[in-house]
Amino acid sequence: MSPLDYSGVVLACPVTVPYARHSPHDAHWWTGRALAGLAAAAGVAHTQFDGLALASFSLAPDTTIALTQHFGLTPRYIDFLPLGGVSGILALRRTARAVQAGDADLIACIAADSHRPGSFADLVAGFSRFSQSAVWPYGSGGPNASFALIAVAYMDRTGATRADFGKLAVAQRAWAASNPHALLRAPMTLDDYLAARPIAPPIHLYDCVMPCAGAEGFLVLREETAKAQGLPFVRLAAAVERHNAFPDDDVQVRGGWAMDRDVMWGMAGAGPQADDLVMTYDDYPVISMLQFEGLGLCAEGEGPEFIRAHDFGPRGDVAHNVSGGQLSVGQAGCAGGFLGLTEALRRLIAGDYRRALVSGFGMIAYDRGLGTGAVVLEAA
Amino acid sequence: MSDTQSDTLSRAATEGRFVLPCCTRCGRFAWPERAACPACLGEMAWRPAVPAGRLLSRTEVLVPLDPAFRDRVPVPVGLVRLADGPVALCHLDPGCPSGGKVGLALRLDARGRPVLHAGPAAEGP
Repeated sequence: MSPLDYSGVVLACPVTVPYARHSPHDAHWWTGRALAGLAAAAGVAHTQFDGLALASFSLAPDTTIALTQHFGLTPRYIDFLPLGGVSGILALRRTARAVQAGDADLIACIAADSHRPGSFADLVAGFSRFSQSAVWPYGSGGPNASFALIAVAYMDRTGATRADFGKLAVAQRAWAASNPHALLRAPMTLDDYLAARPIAPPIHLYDCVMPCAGAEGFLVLREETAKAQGLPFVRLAAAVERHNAFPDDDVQVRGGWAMDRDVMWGMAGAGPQADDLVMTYDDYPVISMLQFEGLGLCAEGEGPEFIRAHDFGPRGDVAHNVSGGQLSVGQAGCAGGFLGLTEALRRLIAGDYRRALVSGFGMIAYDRGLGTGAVVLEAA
Repeated sequence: MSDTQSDTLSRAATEGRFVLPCCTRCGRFAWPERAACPACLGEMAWRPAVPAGRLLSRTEVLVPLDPAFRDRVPVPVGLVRLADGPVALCHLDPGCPSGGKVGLALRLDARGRPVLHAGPAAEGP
């Protein structure tokens, strides 16, 4: 059975709480700032939110339900999505159905995480049962080492070079120059990228996102509610997710997008050629290339040719990660899984683009990213 | 099985045996250790396994997160398709051929944790 459409459901009020490299505040504080930002943007009291979907790695021992009391909410829908790079896509996909079905009217979707020296190592050390027993004792390279092993396999299979990865990183840094929220805004050349410190070859410093503190949020509501409130909005045309796809592949060279993209393009009414904005999950440029292939922007294995044939910078022909991406903005834990959505919302509302493909990826419990998802958003 | 994982693997490492979690129902091996067989959900038990595999991908950890590794960089690691099926992240001993056959062994690391090592196939790790 093909999924029902998302008619009548819209997104509004993209909010970014400006990031900090390190923060004395906890994830609760960042959540509160995002909630306040959403209420201000919507012009309602936060107590009018009757749904809260929350993504965070650093709220322990709390989850969403404790935060309802913390912030004085009485919602009839809550969700907790400590799911990193897929948390935004999943929050949107779930809350859209809740609103469409009438289980809630006005849902705040928030990702918030804090960061202090040492907290990233703590997160990685205890990230999953598998990583505790079968990854951490092997040099404790964290995601850098896991993605190095994936990048090596991708380079072997496709002929991709570090310069291909670097082209994406350099283009995103150029976009970041106009994003006041980006922590890394200094110009970067391909030579800078190539000469960076090796971390776990072929992964070097500028392949890696910088852990930081921050929060992102948006509202999911009915179109008639948005109109009544006078809120500019964006429509959800399609959404898919998949987890633990292709478990028998030796090393991850593809994600679940390939299983679901036909359903997504069917829901959206047109394929990727209709998108004038593409936001991939860029926790390593090689992962953006897996998304280009998996979502059908190019054929499987042709990521390098796609990179070489296009210009991804501010004056280029493919508008990609126009915030600068996590590579420039920083990765505030689960907020990295929301970043593409909030930026796409802003750009579509501003009229810069008409249709956006936003993709998520994440959660290496052992040797590969388990979660994939994507949505198509349309300007109203 | 998780309660005794460290003990069982540590003992095997000390005694020079190579064991992996294996399904008591369908006979498939799995790694990392887990609560049930991913193929049939049967109970898992430790069984002798073939100490061999093929090196799929390799890197060197130059910036470890655990301070205990910082005076031991680079730490060569790689993904190995084990002869018995699963993919395992392994420490790489010198001389492992990329894409080639490797021998496997369980050893105790500096902290006494049981870890997998891969080495050149001919002489074993």
